[in-house]
Amino acid sequence: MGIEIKGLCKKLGGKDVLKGVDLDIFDGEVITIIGASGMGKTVLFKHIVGLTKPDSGSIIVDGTDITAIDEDNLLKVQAKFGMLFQGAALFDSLSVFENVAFGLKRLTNMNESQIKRRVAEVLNMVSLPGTERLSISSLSGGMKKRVGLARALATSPKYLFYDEPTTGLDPLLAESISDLIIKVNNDLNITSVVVTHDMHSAFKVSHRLAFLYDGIIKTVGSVDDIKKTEIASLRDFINVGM
Amino acid sequence: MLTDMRSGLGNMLSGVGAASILLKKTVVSLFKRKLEWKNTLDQILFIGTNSVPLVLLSGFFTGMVLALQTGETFRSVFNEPIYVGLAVGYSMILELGPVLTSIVVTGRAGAAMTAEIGTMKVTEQIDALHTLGTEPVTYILVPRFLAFIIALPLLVVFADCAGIFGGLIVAIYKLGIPFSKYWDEITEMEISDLMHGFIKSGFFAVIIAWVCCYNGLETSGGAEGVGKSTTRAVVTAMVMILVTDYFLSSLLISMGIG
Repeated sequence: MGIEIKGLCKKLGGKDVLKGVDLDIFDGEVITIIGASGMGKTVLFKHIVGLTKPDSGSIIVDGTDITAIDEDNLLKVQAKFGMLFQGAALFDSLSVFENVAFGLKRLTNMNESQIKRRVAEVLNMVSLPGTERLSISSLSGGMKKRVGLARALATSPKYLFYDEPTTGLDPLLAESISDLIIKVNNDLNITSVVVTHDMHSAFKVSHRLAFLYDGIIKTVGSVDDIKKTEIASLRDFINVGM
Repeated sequence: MLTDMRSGLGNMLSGVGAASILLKKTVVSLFKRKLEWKNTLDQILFIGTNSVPLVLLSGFFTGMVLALQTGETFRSVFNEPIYVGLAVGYSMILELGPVLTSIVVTGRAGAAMTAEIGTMKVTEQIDALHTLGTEPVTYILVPRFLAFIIALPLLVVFADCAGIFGGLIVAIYKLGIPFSKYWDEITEMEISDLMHGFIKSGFFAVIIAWVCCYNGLETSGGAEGVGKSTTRAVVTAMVMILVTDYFLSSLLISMGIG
């Protein structure tokens, strides 16, 4: 059924960050929200996953308006989400295994051996086999992103959200994360929402792109549509970004 | 200037409101959701067990200085150091045990707690909990509240004992008071006196957990923000402990407890 965002508005620190965002996210697609830094991409992202309440507007996930439900029901909807945070947001007091197993222990009825198997499986999927015992502080930036992705994938979410997945990584690592996004979408058919200002990655992974500018979604289209855009602000953004 | 004052008052009131909502959520979650046992035990270990040496040391020397000051003052007034056991016992059990221990634990465990939660907040670990089917209040706050409520009164008992023992050492070896005289005065205290200190430490435990967790969750702005919220938490908790101490003592005395 996908996600429908209707008329989303949010004011932060007296400034209108979102001024009526409308966007539909379809099942099985990879959609990338692009826009300059400070344009509210992360704010929009946090609204879509229910981490922030809007001032007005609605976000309908599979028929449920998550802006109008209580915390218990929101947690049930959020169980459909996997999220790769910008800094990976791994729990640094836990090991790699404990991080990846965290959601499995809380959201599934798996026993210990099933959890071990699933953790090994998703770590393998992100090319980090055998790293279960490592501590988070011993991982490089790229490894942290991969463990973050493994943790997000472990519970087999319906929707996967990536917040600036390639930011802070060298070009080779950034490329490998982009490849992983494509692989996850192809192999597991998970609906993916990517928020980035890395145009190279955005063009590579996306089925559709949405351009967030001045608090609204200025345009949505395929990679070709976006490349051929007549909108000056988007054209400038792409030219600088590439 | 009037606008600034109005905005400051508005911010303060909204902070009090948000902190009250957080406290309510924590209490509801404590009874409604499954307890995170491992986290709670880890926190009891961190707040309680690891604070024992510091609490014993501060209690011991507080008892020693209390005995010394009382003994020497009474010696200069009455020509002999009388009521030293009474002064040390009552001061430690009614006041210094609970207040001093709470302040020491705020500085050691409360500050670390705010910094840890604050770091989790700015590195999006709190947000990550939501997407992993976990309510942050249940996972982070409830174990810390419970751990403080269990550990602090026990630490106060340790501090009381250390203080009375420290006073005893000074009474015998410095002031020349016989053990039996000192001990007889200590045992004059009643159960209600012990309850007075015990009840206060329970309230102080809630204050420390509440203030430190709230400030941790309100952290924003990276490492600088973590530093600011840690300082704010420690100062607020200490001031609240001292202010609450007076009113709570008045209430307990009027109820005949202590």
